[in-house]
Amino acid sequence: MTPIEVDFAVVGNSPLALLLAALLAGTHKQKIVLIGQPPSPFSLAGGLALSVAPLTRPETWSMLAACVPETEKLIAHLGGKAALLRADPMFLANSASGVQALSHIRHMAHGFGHPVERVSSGEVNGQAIRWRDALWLNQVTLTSALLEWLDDNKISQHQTATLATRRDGKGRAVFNAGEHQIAARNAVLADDGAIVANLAPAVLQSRFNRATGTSILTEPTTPLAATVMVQIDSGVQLSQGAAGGIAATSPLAPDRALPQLAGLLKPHRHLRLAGQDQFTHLATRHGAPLVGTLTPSGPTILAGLGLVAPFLAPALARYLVGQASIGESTYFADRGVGAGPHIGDYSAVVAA
Amino acid sequence: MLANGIDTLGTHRGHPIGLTQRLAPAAIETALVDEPGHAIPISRLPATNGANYQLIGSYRRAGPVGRVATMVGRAPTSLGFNLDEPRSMPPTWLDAPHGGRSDVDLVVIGGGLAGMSAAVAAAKRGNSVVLVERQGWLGGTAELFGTIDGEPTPAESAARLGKAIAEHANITVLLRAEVVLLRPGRVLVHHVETAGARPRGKLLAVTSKRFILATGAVERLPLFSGNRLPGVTGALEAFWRGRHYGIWAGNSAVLASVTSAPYRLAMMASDAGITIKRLVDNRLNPQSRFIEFAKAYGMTQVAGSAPVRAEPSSSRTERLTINLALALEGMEQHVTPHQCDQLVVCGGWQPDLALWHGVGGASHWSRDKHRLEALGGPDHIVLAGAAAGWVSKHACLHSGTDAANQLFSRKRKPVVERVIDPIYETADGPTPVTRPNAAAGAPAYLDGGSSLIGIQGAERRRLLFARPTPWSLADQPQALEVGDVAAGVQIGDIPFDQAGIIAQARSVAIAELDHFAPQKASERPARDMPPMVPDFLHGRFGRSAQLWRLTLVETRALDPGSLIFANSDQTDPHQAIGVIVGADNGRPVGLIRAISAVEGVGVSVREIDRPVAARLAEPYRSTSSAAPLRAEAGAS
Repeated sequence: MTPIEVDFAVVGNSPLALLLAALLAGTHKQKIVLIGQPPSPFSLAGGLALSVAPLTRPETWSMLAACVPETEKLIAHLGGKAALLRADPMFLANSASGVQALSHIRHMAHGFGHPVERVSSGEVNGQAIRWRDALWLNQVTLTSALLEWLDDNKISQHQTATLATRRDGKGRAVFNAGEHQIAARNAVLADDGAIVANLAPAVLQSRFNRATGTSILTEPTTPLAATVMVQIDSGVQLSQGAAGGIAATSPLAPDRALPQLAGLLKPHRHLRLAGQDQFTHLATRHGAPLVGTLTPSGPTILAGLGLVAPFLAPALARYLVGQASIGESTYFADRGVGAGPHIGDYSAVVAA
Repeated sequence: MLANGIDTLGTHRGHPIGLTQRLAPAAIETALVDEPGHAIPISRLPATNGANYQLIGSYRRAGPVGRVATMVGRAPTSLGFNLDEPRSMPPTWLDAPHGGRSDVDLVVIGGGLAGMSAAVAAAKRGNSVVLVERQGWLGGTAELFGTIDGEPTPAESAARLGKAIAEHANITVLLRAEVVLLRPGRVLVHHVETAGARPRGKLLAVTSKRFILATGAVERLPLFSGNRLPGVTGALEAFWRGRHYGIWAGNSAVLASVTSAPYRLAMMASDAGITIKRLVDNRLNPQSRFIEFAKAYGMTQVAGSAPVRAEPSSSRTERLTINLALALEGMEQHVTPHQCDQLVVCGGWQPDLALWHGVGGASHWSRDKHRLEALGGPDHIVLAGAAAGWVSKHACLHSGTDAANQLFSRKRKPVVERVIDPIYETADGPTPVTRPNAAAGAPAYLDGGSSLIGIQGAERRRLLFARPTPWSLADQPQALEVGDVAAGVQIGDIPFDQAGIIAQARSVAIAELDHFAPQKASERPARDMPPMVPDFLHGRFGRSAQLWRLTLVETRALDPGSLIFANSDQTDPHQAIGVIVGADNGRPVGLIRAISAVEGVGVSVREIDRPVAARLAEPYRSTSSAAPLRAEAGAS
């Protein structure tokens, strides 16, 4: 059987994976294949995607400063205005370490010119800061639009394909996709699901903490203190849709997440669940992002990029095709497989 | 209420919605109106002499005209709820007072034949059992389905099991009880106690290692415009009303079904003097002894047909106009409309997997049987009876016993389905689906429960109301009934291979988040003590960065995170030589890049509003063993 030859096999179904596929194929004219089950429009989201995050490293803010306008333009072009919402997200913290981090985050954001303000203590439980005019990705709309764009541009898509050979005789990663084989010069595992599905368990365990998270959706209720809220020390994310329902995710499994979320949303009495789901998520063992290959012959892994992951897509695409700026190359190379915790932004230690 | 002619719950999207057991409000004794937790859903509220109740929620009270109309004998037929409001019928009864806790060997949820047999099987071995039943009686729905010759009737089986339950003191039966929350190891039940002078709702917490879900099957609602108008009734509900309360709406009826059991109902109704105008069956040539009996009664059957629209009748004598259509090999031919007082519909049966999904149980869509069927679930929670997909009375009874044997690690016997040969008893057909056309009036609802998800004529591609495309069920802020998911598959909006996943995520019974709240204060996270230099500062100012005390030239509190620059002209965070990490004994401490750390050197600390002049006083050494640097406290 002659395999289908491509420059890149992008594995995943997250907004980052789809944006990378579109960028590599569209902007960088690479021959690509997208491997991943299209996310069901019925499933509950596994987390938020924002243009801001609890970041404490200046180099990450600099990277975002360059990438966000580029990503905004790209998404507006590919997904339409409905794919990007504007919000004033609130970051909260209850623990002493979270409050400490919040203060660092506020000062760092301010240093980069972001309009960030403290939230009065009467408004929320704990301490909080509010961003003005951040971008909030409408993942359902964007995913649908990107899949349509990939279809229109005849980009090959396979719902299920497994990595059969990390490097064949020609140095290509070979995937089995039903009756077909795909030989990719580069393979990119672009989200947690792709990494879990394609890394050997021992390798996975050596680099990542794997855990089950919980998503819920509630029926409409009174307004939250902000449309988008992130409790940085627990990893809980909340967002409220136009109809008033709250979507919430926790990095904890349901038996611990539901009491946690019930406590957090206690002011909203009689909040009826409209949905509940689980998802697998990974945290790098060193708490920092991981961009690179674990072994010389292995696929490129993109992990731990957090809330802003999709907004880094343009720089990541350039890095993958070798066209990154010096700053971008340095940033991602520093987050390669050999990096330690000294390159990480704030990362909550959530006992899974 | 139904006996007094009230058959309408209120209006939704401008159309009346029928009052049914599955969608009914709660009521509260007038004397207790200030304590809304004492409300009780009227579907579980027994009639009590001398009691005075009022409804809970946003409904239109009768005005002067209504009261006059009532006085002259034209009583209102609607409870007047505005169902467009999201919380029009708030479940305040979920705040009922707690009625205690208990721990038993087994909890059985569902008091039909399968649940009863499970309870008896477990109790026989000396196990303590709580049996939870939503209705005010045990026995479930088996009576509607009849039996096979030579077997005891469902009523006989229910009586035998009821007697056995009464003889076992280790079985506690909770009637009029609804599960509010089920988690592995515990269940919270709202129970209507009827022992006193007045019914009282209580929340009972029961812990157990084992649970049997014998929750039966929900009746599917055929999809057509007007399928929830007052006067359109599910066959099971019509049967219950007649069997337990002696109520039948009006004098004439059309029955529309895809199963044979409702033919029995037609004969019972006919015996009670109701005119059965048509027996409509979506199956092409259905065979059943019940069908033969019904024909012998002189009833007219219309096979291969289904209702396509129901609307209020212009007739002064009958309430509804039913439009039928023949559906043969893709051709659709409309037949003469029929007038009747009641349209009894049965779209088949869907195992009630709501609680199963809620505890993480899986399911999948059976393309043969057109229903969601259970797959694997959590340990120590098993399904029995119709919820497990069994159909015959024989199998339901034995599946209850088998479920108990499974949970108590006893020897099991295979459960065998005992059904009549399909040549003589045609299998159930799929639920009929007719999307409303543009001219259709009332919505076509996906299910007969509380979700009220409907399609209208102008919304041919999307289930719900005015939403921007692409429509996503994930965005719909309401729980789905298992029937909604099944209908979603049939109308093509839910891929059949995702139906189980979607049902598991979105069909979450009646759980409220409040019920998951931590039980003990100790479950709150302990306060932590952050390290002096948190991980996210590691390497930020070089590997040799040092901690220094700072002296400010003015009295001022500094936030942790305030950047330290070599001079006040600098603001770019990349140029920072350090950062304030906290305070010790009221003096700020900063993490400083080694090359910049010179005693006495002037620096500028960038606060949010302006720079603050400072000097590096001395290398920092902790004055206490713990040396916590409290991030929330500034230093002056």
